[in-house]
Amino acid sequence: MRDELQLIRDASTGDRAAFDELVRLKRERVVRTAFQVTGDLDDAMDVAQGVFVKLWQGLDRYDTGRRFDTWLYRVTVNAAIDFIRTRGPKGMMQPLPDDPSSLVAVEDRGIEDSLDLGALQQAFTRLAAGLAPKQRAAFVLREIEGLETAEVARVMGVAESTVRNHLFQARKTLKAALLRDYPDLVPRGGDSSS
Amino acid sequence: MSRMTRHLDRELIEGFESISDAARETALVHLRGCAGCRAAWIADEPSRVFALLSRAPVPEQRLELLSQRVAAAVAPRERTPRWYGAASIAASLLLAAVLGAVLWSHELPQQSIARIEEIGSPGRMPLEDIGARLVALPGEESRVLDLTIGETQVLLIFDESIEL
Repeated sequence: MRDELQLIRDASTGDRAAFDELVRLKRERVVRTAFQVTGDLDDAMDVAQGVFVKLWQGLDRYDTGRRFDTWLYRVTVNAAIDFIRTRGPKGMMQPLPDDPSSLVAVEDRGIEDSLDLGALQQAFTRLAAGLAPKQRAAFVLREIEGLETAEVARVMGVAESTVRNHLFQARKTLKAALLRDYPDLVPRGGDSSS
Repeated sequence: MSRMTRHLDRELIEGFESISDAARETALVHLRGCAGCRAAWIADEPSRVFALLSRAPVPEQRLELLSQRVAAAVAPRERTPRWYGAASIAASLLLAAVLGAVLWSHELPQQSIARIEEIGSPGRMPLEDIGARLVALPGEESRVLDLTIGETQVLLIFDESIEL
């Protein structure tokens, strides 16, 4: 079995089997990121398809000295931002339907004390539609994908201070909207010692 | 699964931004199922709650569909090898260089040069020596230089009254 770097090297020489395996390895992350930035799974599928076609066409220009995931995130986020700039915000008008196509697994719902992740996803889709595309992308990469601020800056091709500014604005907007529209998702006065 | 993990203490909550990926994932699993820890964790920053959407699985059938779509999009136009583009450019440059060299070194037929010079200074070489003849049309100011070579006839008409 080939490791990731070997897959990249082989795919860059035109090895279709290696490329297909690379797609299988990275597709969920690409779709998930595109989904959180665009707010729509069908749109995320279109974005992801474009990302992988671009990957196939440009893999021979990838510098193996750099982190592949950073490069992939960059292509994905740029494609998703371009997509929503062309399409315009959608989440405000069309909240994600609560069906199996939702990214949130059904088995995660309904457990006592558990957060309703379906409701949380709907809330994010709706509220994030009010963010500027780059604020939204920075928030998704930092908070949902869990990248460090420096990594987010590399992905977005901006300074860390710019990322911190995007995050500050995004958190401020989301906090106000959460407390106003979804107070049940953010109960106050928890006891962590229980 | 979440009930098997430990509650988050104050130190972990305050340092949440700088913990390792593995520790973060473990904490998020616990937070999804523990309302108490969750409330303490988001007390300072409510928008943190969206981190719980991390690693949400994408339906498998969607992922398979994506692979099929990518395969279909890539197959009809296989990626052109990089060397092919470079070779095409090199071949074009070589062809241009060869053609340029040939044209640069190619000398015009002496007869043609002589005829051009003849028009400028007809007295230097008799027209008949180069197979040309200068004729005048009756009653006209025009002068016609007949440069017939074999079956090809070229007539140059000189007339100041002609408006182009």
